Amino acid sequence: MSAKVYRPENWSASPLESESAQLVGGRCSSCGKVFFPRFNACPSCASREPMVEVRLSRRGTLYSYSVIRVNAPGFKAPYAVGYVDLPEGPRVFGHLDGWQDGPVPLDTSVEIYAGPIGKDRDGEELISVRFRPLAADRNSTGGA
Amino acid sequence: MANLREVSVIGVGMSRFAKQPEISIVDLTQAPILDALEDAGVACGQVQAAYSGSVFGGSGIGQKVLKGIGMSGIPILNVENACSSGSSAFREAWLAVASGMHDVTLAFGTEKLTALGGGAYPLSDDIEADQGVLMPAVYAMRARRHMAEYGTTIEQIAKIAVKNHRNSVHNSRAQYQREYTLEEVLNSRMIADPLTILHCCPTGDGAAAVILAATEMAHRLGGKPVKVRASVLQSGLFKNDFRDMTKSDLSYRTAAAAYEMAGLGPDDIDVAEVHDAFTIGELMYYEALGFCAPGDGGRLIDEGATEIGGRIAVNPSGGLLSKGHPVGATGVAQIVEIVSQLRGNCGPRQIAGARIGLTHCTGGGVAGFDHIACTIHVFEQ
Repeated sequence: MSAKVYRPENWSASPLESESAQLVGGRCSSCGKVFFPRFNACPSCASREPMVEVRLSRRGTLYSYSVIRVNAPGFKAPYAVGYVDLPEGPRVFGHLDGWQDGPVPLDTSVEIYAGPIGKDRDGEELISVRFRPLAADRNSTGGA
Repeated sequence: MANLREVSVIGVGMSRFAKQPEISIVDLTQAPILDALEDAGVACGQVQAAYSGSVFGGSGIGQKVLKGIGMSGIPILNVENACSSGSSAFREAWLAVASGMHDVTLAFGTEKLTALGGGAYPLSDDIEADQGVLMPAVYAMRARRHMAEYGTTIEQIAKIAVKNHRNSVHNSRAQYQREYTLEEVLNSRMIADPLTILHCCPTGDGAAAVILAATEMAHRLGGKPVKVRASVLQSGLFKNDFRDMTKSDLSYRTAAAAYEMAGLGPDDIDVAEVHDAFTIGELMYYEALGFCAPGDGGRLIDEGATEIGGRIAVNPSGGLLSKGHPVGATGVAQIVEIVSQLRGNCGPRQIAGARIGLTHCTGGGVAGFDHIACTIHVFEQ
């Protein structure tokens, strides 16, 4: 089955070819704020100067998530989606692993990687952002 | 603020909210408009401008509805603002009268969701929607965070559904009109954990309409006027980074502006219709509207303060959860309920002595916003 990367311009290399591909955001060359994804104009100060590419951390903090039990078009339930905050600032949306083993504590550290999330309209496997809870954090207490 | 005239609602009408695929959207919408005209004692020729709220009604839906009931050839504006479409249309109708541009206007909202084939409200052309997010999951993430930060329990959140379903038993226009126990809410089919299907509003079809007039003229027209004390429309603040999902900053901002405009505070509100597309929404919006302190929404529902007969009755109509949520119609239907409450016309679900009422309508799922739009209106008998 063929696979395609969702918005490949958001990765430092093709996730199909490189396991170390990182998310790429943009820093406004005028106000300095970092965004993911990159924008043509800065959402904060409206500068039209091209954003400077910034490689984003492969680790972040899980803010919240939910396991979806109904099929959205192209996505086979159940699957979990969540938000992860990156040290550079941006909050990233993606699919979460590990929920099958019980509740994932909020504020847990996760690794960010590229993996299959569902299918697009043409039935092609879609590769995009996934979060893998880090074991050390998972066993700690706190969160819900 | 510039010299704005005082505006009153002088007539209301509302269709049954239900899945009614056999009725065309035009027929569904014309009936409540005619009811509102009759209630106001206003002839179709006296309406000087009309504002139509709908999300999926399509191009020119306002003209399609009005052409058959004597209201072509006047300014007609079609308004789309997600779940706040109907309430945004009302705001435009209010502004047209308040500014002195027109004396009598019509606002209506309409939606026929059965035409879309059911399922969750479709989101599109968005980085998160493309990757499988659904509206219930957004609210579910808010719920999970609220529970983690404030110790709110799923039982407290579920009590919102129990309350609103209990209220709609007395509303013959509501989609459900039946009670559910706490256990039924908790044990119904899981949609996006921790929210089961009874934490989510149904999809359906419906329409609602109101006639507005300058208060100074309202007494010469037929209807029983209810004054608009505040009308505020706000949009979400785009954020690409951290957002506290337990607090709708958009609803907080809109509420502050509405209370300022009305010269009133949360303690003055006797009855409110609040945007409960999902149970956790109503709980969070209690906090945003100042009905309780941030984080105390669970305690407020435990105290029964928002029941009919409580300190501040919320969603006596059944709310979106039980009355239904034909998206474009919702904001106007909330206004129909509050105006009816302030007129004392609500029968078994009447809030005794209600004098000040509030409607809150927010929605729209776009990455980086808590919601795209929020409207709050305050009314006085």
